[in-house]
Amino acid sequence: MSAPEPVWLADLSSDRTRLASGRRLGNRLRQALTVEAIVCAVAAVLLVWLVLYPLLVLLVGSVRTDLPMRPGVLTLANFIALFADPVNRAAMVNTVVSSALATLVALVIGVALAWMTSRTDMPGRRFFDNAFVIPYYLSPFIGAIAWTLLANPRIGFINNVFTELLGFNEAPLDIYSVTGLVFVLALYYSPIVFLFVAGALRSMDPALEEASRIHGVGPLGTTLRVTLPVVSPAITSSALLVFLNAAGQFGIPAVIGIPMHYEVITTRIWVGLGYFPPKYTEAAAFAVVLLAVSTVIVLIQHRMLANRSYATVTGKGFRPAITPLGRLRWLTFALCVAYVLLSIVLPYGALAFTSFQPYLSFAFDPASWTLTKYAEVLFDNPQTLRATTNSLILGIAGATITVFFALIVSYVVQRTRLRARRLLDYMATLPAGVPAVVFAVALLWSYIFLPVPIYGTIWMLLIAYIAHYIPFGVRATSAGLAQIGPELEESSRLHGETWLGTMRRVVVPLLRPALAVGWILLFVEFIRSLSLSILLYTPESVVMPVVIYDLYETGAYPALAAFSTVQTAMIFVAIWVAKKVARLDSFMQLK
Amino acid sequence: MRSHASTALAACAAIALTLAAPARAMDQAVLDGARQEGKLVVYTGIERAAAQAVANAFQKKYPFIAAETVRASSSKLATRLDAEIAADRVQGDVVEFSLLYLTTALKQRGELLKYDTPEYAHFPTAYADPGYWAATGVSSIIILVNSRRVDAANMPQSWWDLTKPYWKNKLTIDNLEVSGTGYNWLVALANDPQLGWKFIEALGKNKPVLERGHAGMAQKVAAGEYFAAAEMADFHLKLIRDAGAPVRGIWPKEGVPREPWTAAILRRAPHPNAARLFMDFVLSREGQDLYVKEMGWHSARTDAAAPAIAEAPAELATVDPKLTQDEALKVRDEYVAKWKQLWGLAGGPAK
Amino acid sequence: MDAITISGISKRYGDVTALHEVSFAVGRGELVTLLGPSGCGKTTTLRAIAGLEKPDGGRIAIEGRDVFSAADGSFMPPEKRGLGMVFQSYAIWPHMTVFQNVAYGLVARRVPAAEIRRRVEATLAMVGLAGFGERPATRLSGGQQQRVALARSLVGEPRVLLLDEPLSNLDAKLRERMRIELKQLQKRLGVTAVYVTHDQAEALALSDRIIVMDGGRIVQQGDGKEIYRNPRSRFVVDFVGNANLVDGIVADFDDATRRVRLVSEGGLEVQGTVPQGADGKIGAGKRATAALRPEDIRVSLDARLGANVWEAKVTSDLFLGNARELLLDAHGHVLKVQVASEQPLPPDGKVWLTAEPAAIHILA
Repeated sequence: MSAPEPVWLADLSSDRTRLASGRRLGNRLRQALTVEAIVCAVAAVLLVWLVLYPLLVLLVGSVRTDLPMRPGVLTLANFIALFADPVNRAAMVNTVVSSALATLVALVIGVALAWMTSRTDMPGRRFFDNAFVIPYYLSPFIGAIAWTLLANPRIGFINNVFTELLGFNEAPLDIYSVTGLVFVLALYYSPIVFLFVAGALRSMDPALEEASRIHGVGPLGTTLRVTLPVVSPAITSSALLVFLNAAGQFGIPAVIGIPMHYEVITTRIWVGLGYFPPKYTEAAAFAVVLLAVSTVIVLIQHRMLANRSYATVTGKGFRPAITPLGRLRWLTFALCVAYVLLSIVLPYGALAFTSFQPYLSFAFDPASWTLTKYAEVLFDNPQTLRATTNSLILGIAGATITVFFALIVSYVVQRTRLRARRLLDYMATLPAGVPAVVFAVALLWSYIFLPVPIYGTIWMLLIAYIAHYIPFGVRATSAGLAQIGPELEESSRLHGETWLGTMRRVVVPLLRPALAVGWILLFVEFIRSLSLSILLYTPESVVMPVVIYDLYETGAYPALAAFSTVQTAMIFVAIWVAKKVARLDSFMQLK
Repeated sequence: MRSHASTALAACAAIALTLAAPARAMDQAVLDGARQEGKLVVYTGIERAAAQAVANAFQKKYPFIAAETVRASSSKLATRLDAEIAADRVQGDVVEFSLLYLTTALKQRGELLKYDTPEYAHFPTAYADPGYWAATGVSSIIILVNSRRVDAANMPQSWWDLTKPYWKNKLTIDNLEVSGTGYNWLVALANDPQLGWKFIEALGKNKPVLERGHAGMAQKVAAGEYFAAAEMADFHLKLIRDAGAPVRGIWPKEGVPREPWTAAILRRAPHPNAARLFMDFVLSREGQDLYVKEMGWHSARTDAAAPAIAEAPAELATVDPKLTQDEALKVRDEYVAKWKQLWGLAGGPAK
Repeated sequence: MDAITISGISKRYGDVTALHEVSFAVGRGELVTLLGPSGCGKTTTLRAIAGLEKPDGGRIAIEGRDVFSAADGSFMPPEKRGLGMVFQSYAIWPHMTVFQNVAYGLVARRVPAAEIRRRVEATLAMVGLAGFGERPATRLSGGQQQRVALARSLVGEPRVLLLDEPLSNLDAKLRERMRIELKQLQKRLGVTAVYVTHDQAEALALSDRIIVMDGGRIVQQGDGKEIYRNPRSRFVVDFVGNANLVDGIVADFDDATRRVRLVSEGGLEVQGTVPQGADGKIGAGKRATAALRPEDIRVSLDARLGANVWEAKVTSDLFLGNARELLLDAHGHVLKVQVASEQPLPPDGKVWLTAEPAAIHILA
C-alpha cells in the first residue's frame, strides 16, 4: 500500500499536448512532494547528520595528523603509532579477550536461565522472569563498583565473611583479576541473552519439539537437536549484542581493570583524552580499530542469520512441553536464586550499606549509620544536583525526540514504497553495530572544531544519546507498528483524511502503549549511560553516571553509594511504570 | 613654630588623602564592575565542602556575586584549562590547584591577570608571586595510619620506619607517575640526604599498592583495607577524622615535603572584577583563617593561626626538594623511570 | 487385535474437563476421524494417543500393549510408541534440509546410512517430492511442507499415523487435492490412521469411520453414510452436513413405523422419521426438532398433494456454480434448499416445497 496516486492530473495532462511537458513536470513534482516524501527526505538528512557525518569524520580523522579545520596531511602514522605502543596492543588484545570471554559466560548463564524458566517445572518461574531482567536495567557500572566492595581482596564484604567468620587465612576472592572482570561483565549482560533466548523459546511452535519426540528422540536429544538449533538465531543475536556492549563499555573495565593495570580500548581512549594536549588522533585510530572489529562481527552474524528467519507460529495454544526435573528442581531453583543474589541482592545490599556510613567501612556498626550522605547528594552538593537535573532533562527530551524520530523512520520503512526507505533503514540501524565509545569519539571529532557552541554543552550529549540509541527506538516502534495492520490506515485515507491526520488520529493513538514503553526504556538508557557521556561531558553538562564515576575516582564511597541508590531507585520506578502502562504481566516482555 | 607643625600636619594629611583616594577609586571601580558581572566561577581542586564554604563566605560578603565552584582534580583542571585557552573559550575566572609548576607556566605564557592586592604583603616570597599568584594554603605530605589496626608499638615515627618488614603489603601510595603531589613527594624524598633513593628502594620492598587519589586512599586506610598511606596530604586527615574514622597523622622525624596550593586570576577571565574581589578575600586574614579551619592545613600568611591538629608539631621540619619546579619537571621522565625500575613495575598489565 | 484401544480416558485442565471417559477402538488399517467443533476434545484425545498429554484416568493400548494406564500408573513416553504424526503447523524443522527432516527418526534409531537414503528417497517420491532432498526447509511452500511432514511420519513405518488437522492451512483447491492423495496413500500403505478435523466434508470424504465428539464426549460413531443418513442427535445432524432445523411439538408418534408428525409454532406441519438408535425420548406432546437437509427438499411450481407439502416464498437466490441455493420462507421458517442451476422460478417467488418423510429426521 502506498500513497494514493493523483491519477486525474496525469490523465488530463496527456490530453493537453500544448501544456503537456510543463504539466508533466508539475505532476512529477507534486507526486514527489507528497508529505511522506518530504518527511522521508527530512528524516534521511537528519540521519546523515546524526549518524553518517560523525562516522565519516572519524574515519577521515584517523588518517590525518590533526583535527579537521587544522592543517594536517593524510597519513597512516596514527595507526602505526597505535600498534607500536605495547600498552595499546595489550589493550586491544584485552578488549577482544575480555569481551569474548564475557560473551561466552553470559551465553551459558543466559541460555541456562532461559531454559530453566521456559522449559522446566522449576518453582518460582514467574518471579524469576521478572527478577532476571532487572540487572539489565540497573547500571552495570554501579554493579561493578559494588562488586569491588564485595570482593575487595583485602577487606571485601564477602572476603570478610570467609576470613573473620569462617576462619580462613587468606581471602579467597579477588575482584581485581581477569576472572573478576569477566564475571561482572557476564553477570550484567546475561539478561540480554536471557531475554532473547527465553523469548524465542516461548514463541517457538511447540509442535517442533513434539514432532521430534513422536519420531523417536527423547527429551535431551530433542533439546540438543531441535530446541537449541531453532533458537540459535536468538543466541547469536544476543551474543553479538553482548560482545558489542562489552567491548564498548567504559565503566566496568575502568573500575575493575585500571587498578590492576589491565587496560582495554575504552579506558586507553579515556586516558589518552585526559592528557594535555589530548591525544585526539590516537583516540580516533583506536576507535576505528574497535569499529572494524565490531563490523566484522556484525557481518559474520548477518551471514549466519542470512537464510534463517526462524519465525515460528504458535499452534493451538498448547504450551511447549515442560521437562519435569524431579529432585533437580531444587538445584535449579538454587542456581536461579544464586544469580539473583549475585547480580542484585549482594551488590545493591553492599551499596545500601555503604550509603549509610559516614566514611568507608566494612564493619557492622549500626550506631554510626546516618543519612547525611543522602542529604548531601540530594540537597547540598551542587554537582549532584546539577547532574540530576541534566540527566532528567536529557532523559525526558532525548527519549521524546528519539521515540518520535524512530516512529517516523519505522513508518517510512514499513509503510511506504519510497525507494529511499532502504537507505533510511540502513542508516537508522547502523549505530547498533558501533560501540558506544567509538561513537563518542566520532562525535567529539565532529563537533570540537565547529564554531557552533555544541561541543561541551548539554546539546552535545543530547545529540550523542539520540544518535546512538536510534536503533533501539526503531526496534521498539517497528515492533509496535508491525502489530497494527495497514488496513487501519488505509481505511482512514479512503475516508478522506490526510496522511498527517491519519497519523494523528489513528496511528499514534494505537501505538501509544508501544511508544510509552519505548520512551521509558530509552529514558532509562539515557540516565545510566556512562560510556557515551564520559568523553563528551563538561562540568556544566555533567550527568548522573559521570558524577558517580567522579565520586568513585575521588574515593567518596559513601556519597557514591547514596547517589547510586538514588539513580537505581529512579530507574526502578521508570521500568515499573513502563510495565503498568503497557499492561504487561512480566518485565520480560519489555524488550 | 606652631603654624609650621600644623601646616606639616595638614600637608601630610593632604598627601595621605591623595594617596588614599586613587586606591579607593580603584576599589569602587572594581566593585561596580563586579556588580555588573554578577557572577564568579572558580576552578578549584580543594575538597568540595571546603570550596563550598569559601564560596558561601564570599557570597555572604558580596551578595550580588553568584559564586560558583567547579571542583575537579588538579590534573583534570589543568587539562581543561589548557583546552579552554587553546579554544579561547575560557569559562573560569580563578584557578586554584596544587600544581605550582603549572601556575608558573601559566604566568610565563601570559595567561594570568596581574592584580596588586595589598594582601600579597603578608605572604613570604616562597609562597607568592606578588600580583600573580599566592598560596591559599600549604599542605604537608604526611603518613596516614589506621589507629585501630596499628598498635602503638608499630606506629611509625619516621619515613624510614615504613621500610620495616611489619609494613609489607600493608601500605598504599599514589601512582607517582600520574599524581602531581606524588611526584613532588618523590622528588623531595629522593633528594633528601637522610632518605634518598636508598629509602625509595627499601620502601618498594614492602610492595605498597598504587592507588589513585588521596581521597580514595584515605577512605581505604580508614576502612582498614590498608594500614597506612605512605604519602598523604595533611588536610585529608582532618576531613576523614571529622567523619569519625579511626586514623592518625604522622609527621615523620625527617621532615615533610610542603606543597602549596596556589590561586591565580586568569587573564581571559569572563568576570575579572569579581575575580579580583575573590583574590582579596581568599588571601585576607579572614579568608585564610577560613581555609585553615575548613581544610586543616597551614596557611602561608605570616600572621595566620595554625590548624588545630593534635599531631602536627609546632615547628614543621621540611624536606626540601632541592630542585626548582622547572628542574623537577625536566627530570620527571628520568625519575619516574628510576622509581618504576626500583620497584619492579613493568609498563604493561599486572595480571 | 485392534491397532488402538482407548478405554475411559479423562482429562481435566484445572476446572475444565476436556475428556469425559472416552472409549473407542481403531482397527488395523482403518482411517478413523475424530470430528467435532473446537474444544470438543478431539485434539486432546489425539495427543493422548501420541503421549503428548497424560490423561488423568483410563487406559490406552497400542497393538495390544499398554502405553498408558492410570490404574498401574504406567506411561510410555512418546518417543517409544513408534508412531508418526503430522501437525497442523507441519512442524518442519527450519534448520534442516528436507532430507534431514524426513530422515530424523531413522537417524535416531541408528538405521544404517545407506538404508536411510533408500527409504527417504522412496518416501519422498511417494509423496510427490522426489528430488527435494537437499532443499532447505525454509524454502518450502505450505503444500510442500505438508508433504514433507507426511513423508517424515511415514518413513519410519509407524504403527499408527496421527494427523492433527493437516489440511486446514492449505487453500481450498489444494486441500481437495490433498484429501484424495492422503486417502490413496493410506489405503496403499495400509497404515492405521487417526485423523482430527472440524471440517465435516473432509471427514466424510476421507474416513472409514467417523467419531463425532462434543464437549469431551463421543456423541456418535459410524461410517460416513450412517452418520449422515442416521444422525442420532440434533448436534450431529447440524454439524455433519447442512440441516434446516424446525422446532415444534410432536402431534403424533407411531412407535412401530417410527413416524412422527410434528407441528411447529408457525403452524408448519412436518412428517418425518425418528432414526434408529437416536438419543432421547420422542413422545406425543413433547418438544422435538425436525431436520431437513437442503438437498432433500424439492421445489415445485404447482401445488401437490401428499405429506410434507408447504407453500413458500423465495427470499434469496444464490448461484453456486454447480447448483443453486434458495432461501424460502415457509410459515415463518426460513428453509435453505438446494436446487439445480436451471430450476425455473415464478416471478412472484411463490412455490411449493415437498420432502419425503423418510428423509426427514425427527430428533429429541
